[in-house]
Amino acid sequence: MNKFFSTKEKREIQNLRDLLLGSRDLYGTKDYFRYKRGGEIKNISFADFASETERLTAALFEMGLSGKAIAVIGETTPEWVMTYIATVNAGGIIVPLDRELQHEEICGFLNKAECAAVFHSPAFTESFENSRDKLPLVRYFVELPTNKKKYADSHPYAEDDDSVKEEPLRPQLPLPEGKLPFSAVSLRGKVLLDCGDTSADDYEADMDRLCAILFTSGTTGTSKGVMLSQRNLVSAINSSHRSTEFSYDDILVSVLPTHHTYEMTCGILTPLLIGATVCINESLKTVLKSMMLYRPTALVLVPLYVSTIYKKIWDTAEKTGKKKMLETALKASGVTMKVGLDLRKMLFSTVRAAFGGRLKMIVCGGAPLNPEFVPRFDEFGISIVEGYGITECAPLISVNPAFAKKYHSVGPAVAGLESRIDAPDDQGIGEICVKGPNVMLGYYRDPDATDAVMDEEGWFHTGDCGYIDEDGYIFITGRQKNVIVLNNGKNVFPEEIEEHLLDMNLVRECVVVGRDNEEGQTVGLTALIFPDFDRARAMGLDDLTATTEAIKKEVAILNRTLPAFKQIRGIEIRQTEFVKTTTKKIKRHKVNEE
Amino acid sequence: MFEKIKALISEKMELDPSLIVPTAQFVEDLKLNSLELADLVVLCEEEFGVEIDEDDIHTLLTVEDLVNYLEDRA
Repeated sequence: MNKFFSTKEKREIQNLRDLLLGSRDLYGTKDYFRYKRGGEIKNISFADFASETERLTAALFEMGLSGKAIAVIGETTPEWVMTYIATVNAGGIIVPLDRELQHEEICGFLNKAECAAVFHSPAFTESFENSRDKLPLVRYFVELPTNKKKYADSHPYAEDDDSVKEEPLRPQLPLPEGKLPFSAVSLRGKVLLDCGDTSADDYEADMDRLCAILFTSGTTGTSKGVMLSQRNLVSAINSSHRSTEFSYDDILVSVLPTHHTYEMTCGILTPLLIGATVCINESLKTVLKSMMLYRPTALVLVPLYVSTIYKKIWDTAEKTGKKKMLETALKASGVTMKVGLDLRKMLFSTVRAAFGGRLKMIVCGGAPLNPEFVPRFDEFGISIVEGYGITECAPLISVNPAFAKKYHSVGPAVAGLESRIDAPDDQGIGEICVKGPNVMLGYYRDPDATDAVMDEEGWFHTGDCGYIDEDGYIFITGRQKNVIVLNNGKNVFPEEIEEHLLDMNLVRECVVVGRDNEEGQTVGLTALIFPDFDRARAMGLDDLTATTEAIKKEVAILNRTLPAFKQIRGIEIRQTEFVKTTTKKIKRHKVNEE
Repeated sequence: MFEKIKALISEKMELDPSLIVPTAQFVEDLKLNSLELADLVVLCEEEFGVEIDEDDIHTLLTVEDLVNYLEDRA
């Protein structure tokens, strides 16, 4: 046993079906999910969740979807998670898509992955209805139930009917292709299982076969599809379980989108492994309400949430006249802690009350966290467990464990994963490379891109720079790739936004960068623009101010067509060209030095 | 409507009222992050009795956008 991982005996799973059925047997009627539907709080137990997922798995086999790609898109619901697990258990390839993508991009990804079915929330029903001709390979459009009030609530599941005593008949006709409600698929699965269908039992999972394609940020043309096997997923779930201190008694509130492998692995599937309850926050608007309603003991977050929570703590203290008291309590707590007396729970009860009063741990990943937050939250008695991951590693690379934490580090590589620094400089800083069962199979139909990150010895080159100390703890110092990682965990490829800008008449050259705020967090995109002054003059824009204003107006129009995280928040106009390479490419790394 | 929203933003978000002009951008000028903007949306829903769809939040870039949205649906 590695010294960095908890020594408590922990459950390990072999595959996702083992995870599902094992949790059914271990945790039975305990709530796996709590969520809102039709204005009411609903719950589904581990046993019922497993039973529904098994029905769906049986139906997928019958629908001929084993081995096929199945996309899932929509807000977090138990049925979204069932679709993910059932697809893998039926030998399919799950393709989770970001619901914030524009419709054309969604269609592009469905075609690129050759999806034979898409499970979608009702928000997409109309757009898919109108795009059938653009999606010739998609045979089934299955509408998932929703938590959203504006869509009529459906009854997603087949009801158990004990009154029927006769031997059920196996359906003679297949489910019709085209649009189907989730309930119809669920009912078909139930009938099949009642008839003794054993497809799922008979299927032997190949752990090294492709089972998930996760598209990185960007457009259909620029995005890469990360190919993961079941071994990757299982290894990451087991690692997450060993490295975090979630327990059976924990209650989590899920606020991040499930198409992110970070949320799916750490916030959804790890609780399934351990028997913890996940409460689904329905919208960005209800985050704080959900905290008060579900009173979480643990959260899986990105830095944006952590910094907002911290700000909220002090704002509330100031508004309620308790700022001085909080400062005094912090000093007192420091003193009592030194003599071995932990009064944090008592001293900071009002701070914790804002999050339901029971919060004790935050797992933070997806983007770099300002290291100052870790000791500050520790002072309040809330432990931040910082992790480092990348989709290509399903996504876990390292976790800074609560019981052996080093400030400013992202912790040692998780169990089973080797780490090393490639081409270190005299300070030991170089590219972080990892090797092990979490590492992806490669990029979907892109051998050149795969070869660029995987070397002959099987090391995956992360594109992040850093060093590893004598205890094996990883410290990240920067990035090699152009991708901008925002503090909400979203990745943006600057080239995609630059393409939009270069379509504008007044933009001759541009570079999109992520600018840090005072806390060192990358909060939004800034466009550095060298205008086309000749064209500006031809348009009657005589000075820099007029040109700048015209560009700002065009950018504002562009922003309305982009999802929030891709919008340009700042514009910096320059009067000189960018420094270029001999092949006339802008030297990006020089931009910030100019 | 603008004056009401200005007062609401200034009070609840603790911002200098002089910054809250129709063209002020929530993120760039008023320095609100997406969670704070969602908070503001909830406050507006409660104050004006208008439901703002979560999917519409990203189209509300400026104070003026919010005013127009609420006026159209009030």
